[in-house]
Amino acid sequence: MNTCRLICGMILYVAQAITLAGRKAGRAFFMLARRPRKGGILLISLHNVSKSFVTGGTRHQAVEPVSLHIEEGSVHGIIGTSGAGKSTLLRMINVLERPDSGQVMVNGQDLTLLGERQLREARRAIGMIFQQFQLVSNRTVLGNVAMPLELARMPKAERMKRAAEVLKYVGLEDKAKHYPSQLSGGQKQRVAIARALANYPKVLLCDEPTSSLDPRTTADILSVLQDINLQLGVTIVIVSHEMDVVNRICDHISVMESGRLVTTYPVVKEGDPT
Amino acid sequence: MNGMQLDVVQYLHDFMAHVMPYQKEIWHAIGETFVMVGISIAAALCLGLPVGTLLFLCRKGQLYENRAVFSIVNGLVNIIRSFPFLLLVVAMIPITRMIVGTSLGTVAAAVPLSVVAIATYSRLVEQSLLEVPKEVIEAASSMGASTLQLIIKFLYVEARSGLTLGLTTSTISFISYSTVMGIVGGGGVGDFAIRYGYQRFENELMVFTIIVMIILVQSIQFGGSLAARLLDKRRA
Repeated sequence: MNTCRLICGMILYVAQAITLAGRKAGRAFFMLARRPRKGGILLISLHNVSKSFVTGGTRHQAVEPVSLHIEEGSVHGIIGTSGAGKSTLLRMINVLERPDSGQVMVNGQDLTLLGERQLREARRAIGMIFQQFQLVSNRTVLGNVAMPLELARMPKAERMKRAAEVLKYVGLEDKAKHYPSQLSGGQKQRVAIARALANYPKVLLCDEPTSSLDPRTTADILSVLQDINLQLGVTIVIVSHEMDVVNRICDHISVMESGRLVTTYPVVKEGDPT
Repeated sequence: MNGMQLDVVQYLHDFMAHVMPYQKEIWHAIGETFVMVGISIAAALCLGLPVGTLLFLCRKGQLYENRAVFSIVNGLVNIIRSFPFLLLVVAMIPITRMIVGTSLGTVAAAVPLSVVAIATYSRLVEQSLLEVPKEVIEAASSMGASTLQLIIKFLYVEARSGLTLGLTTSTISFISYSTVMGIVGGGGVGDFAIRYGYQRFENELMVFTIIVMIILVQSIQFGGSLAARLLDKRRA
């Protein structure tokens, strides 16, 4: 009897160990298969950044000390209701909002320690798009796309070539001579994306990029962003209040609530063998 | 009907007969006006534009918010603009003499005119820049634009039609201001109309000068509005 129980126990134990190891190995395999390009290198790393604003004499804590780490090549979503501090958090990544405390590491540099000139240089490697597109309305589409290159003092012939190239990438080469007011919302956002991509950025920050677009255009823009991530390897951080939007293209999602980062979790994609 | 037409023709004939002998003087006066107004437009562009930009940038809530600089520049602009122009001309005589070596003549007259031009235009520049959406500035910073690039490639580009209209309005008021320059021997059409038309009771000369001024102002306004419209691509 005793030996029998012992043998049974041993068999069970071994079986359990085998399944556990198998599961672990399997998971590791799927992780590799899903994101083969990702070396697990942290491209963006926020350490305890916080930000408060003073409005009408009262201090309002927009972002409590928050830490966030984003790997190179990933698409990271930040979701939350309006006023949760997600846009402020995004703006701290390129120090458009200077954090009151904490560290902003992007591509191995602490942006909070840089001087004006160095910060400008660093920002040129970080593209950004906005809800209201924020194009220069008195400049043509091509002129808008060429703008970041002009700011970086790229020679004219070269920058026109590059601008035409990125404009073609977003499918608007026939609108080069138009002005933004002659375009639809979705087209304006494509121009904004082309502008953000012109200077070969490593990171693309998206602040509610689809919130003023209709559902179909939203899907269009999201697929453009996805292509950029997959084909060009650009790391994308996207802020939205629409769960649907972040679910569709992100591989990690952070949830913000009244200035606090509540949780960050990986997204299980449909069709992924998990 | 026919008789009336004849009357008009006769009247015009008489009118021109009064004016024609002074052709040379009129052209000379117009030339003086152009010199004075031209110098003040140049001053408005070279100094009024930067001063207006400074006012804008130092304003509360703007990029380089600076209460001290804003208060001083703002106060200075207000003081210049609140001076009755004739008194400003007189009060500035010592300064004018310091700058151009004399307080008399067309070039000397252009000095106080330029000072007013700078103050007037800087205020209009500030107002035009305030109309530029704040988001444009944000986009510029996100792209790594330096301050000078922000001003020239974003602010001035977005505000260019307002800046043009402002300059048009300013030019017209410079012309108006220039008419009192007779007091320091500046000459100009205004001075001509007063000395020849008003003081020598030659009403025809006065009326003629006024017509010239009306045509001048109308064409400047027309040109300015047209340019502003053509430059404005903000709406389809």
